[in-house]
Amino acid sequence: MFIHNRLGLLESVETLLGQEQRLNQVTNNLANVDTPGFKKETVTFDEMLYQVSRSRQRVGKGLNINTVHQQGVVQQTDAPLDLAISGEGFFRVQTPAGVRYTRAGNFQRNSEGLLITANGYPVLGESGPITITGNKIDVARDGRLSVDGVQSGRLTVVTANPQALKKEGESLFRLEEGAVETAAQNFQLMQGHLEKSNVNTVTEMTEMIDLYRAYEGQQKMIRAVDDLDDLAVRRVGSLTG
Amino acid sequence: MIRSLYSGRTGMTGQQLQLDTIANNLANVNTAGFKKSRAQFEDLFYQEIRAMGTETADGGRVPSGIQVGLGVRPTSVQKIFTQGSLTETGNDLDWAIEGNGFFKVVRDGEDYFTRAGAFSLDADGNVVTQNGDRLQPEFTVPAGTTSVSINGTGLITAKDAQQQVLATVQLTLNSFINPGGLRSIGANLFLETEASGAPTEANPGSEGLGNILQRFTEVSNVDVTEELVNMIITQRAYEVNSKSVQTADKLLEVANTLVR
Repeated sequence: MFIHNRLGLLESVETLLGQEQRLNQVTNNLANVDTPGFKKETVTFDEMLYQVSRSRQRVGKGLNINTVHQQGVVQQTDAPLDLAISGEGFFRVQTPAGVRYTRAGNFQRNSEGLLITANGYPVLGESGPITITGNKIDVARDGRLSVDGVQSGRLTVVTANPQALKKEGESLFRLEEGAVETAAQNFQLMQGHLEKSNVNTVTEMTEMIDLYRAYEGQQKMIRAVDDLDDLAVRRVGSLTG
Repeated sequence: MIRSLYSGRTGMTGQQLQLDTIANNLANVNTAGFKKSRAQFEDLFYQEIRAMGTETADGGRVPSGIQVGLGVRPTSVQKIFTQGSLTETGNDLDWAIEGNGFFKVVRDGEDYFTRAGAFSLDADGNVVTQNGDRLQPEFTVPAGTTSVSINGTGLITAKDAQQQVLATVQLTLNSFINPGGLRSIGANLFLETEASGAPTEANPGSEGLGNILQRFTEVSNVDVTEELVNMIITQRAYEVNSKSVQTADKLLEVANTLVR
């Protein structure tokens, strides 16, 4: 059994799959290039020790996907219920499955005046969901709301360990069990602004070229291994040489 | 199959919707009382390949796991009700609302709302929109009227040549708690929905409603520069998404040549 050759093959296939995963990630980033509050993912690989047999070990690749919580570009929209967080933190949102976190500040009011996300989930303030019935809405930089000049509640902005935040779709993050949220300190709310996605198309395009070439290279590796096998099959058994 | 073929497609479809919205905004750049729209997006759900915090063989915990997003999804096309700029027209029946509020008109017995305040008179002297829908509360200009005026708080007065007041009526405006929830039905008209809530009727200038400006019309709030910039962004975003579909295809091509 050509264990070494087979191992080369195994690692190459692993890399091919890894690059495919990278492409999936790049594509998702690019698809969300216009999603407010979207945070991109990066793929990193790390070495992992695999047990091949009782006596052998080999080094392989482990895949890691990390969400990059970098600030996105803030765009002015002038819509009074567009709120961008400049700095750290997330808005708290009440969903049927529990409290979720988002940085997509494209809020609206429903027919009862309840402040809701684009998906209709209530946005939470210091004392639960926020109802706004007046016409003129002002949001101060620290989240205090005033409606027609009258103070009425405050939006809560919280932070948590980024490792414990898990994406759930619908621009929402979920907090892992056991992790805790803390009140955010270093932030400013900007009314009439929207935080865009933090995806940089140039980075993603170069990433795509890079992964394509890596994929191609591994394909050549597989062929080389195959060629070796081919030679072995044809030449080793041959008497004439 | 590579997921990115499909998630790239969601990106392209999303950008198409965005472009449709921009095109409609630009087409209505000169429509009185038109309010621009914007398409809104959110990320689609995530597929979990390896959960975060799962235990590894040597007792450690995976710190970040593997979650692959499956693309993007449009959530809504939202109307943005910012004030459009006002232009003077000199026409007595051009009324602009400076601030919040909608005019109410009736078409086929149903209430519609509009901000396009370019009115005319029909054959019977009723104040109607350009499509012939009657303004509410109805106002019929009596015979012999030479001028119609409206003040800031909405009192409509018809006078004859001797400046005698022939008729007056108080105009009311309507506001909605969530104007973004109104349904646009075309012809500058909006229809009340469950999302917008019921209209609150009041005199102009009261309860947060705007004042009426006579001889002015409100032009559309579409900002051409902004739309053109958005169009460039949309076009590029469409392009990069098509590139990811293309790259997925190229990967498959490379994979296909593995077998000789």
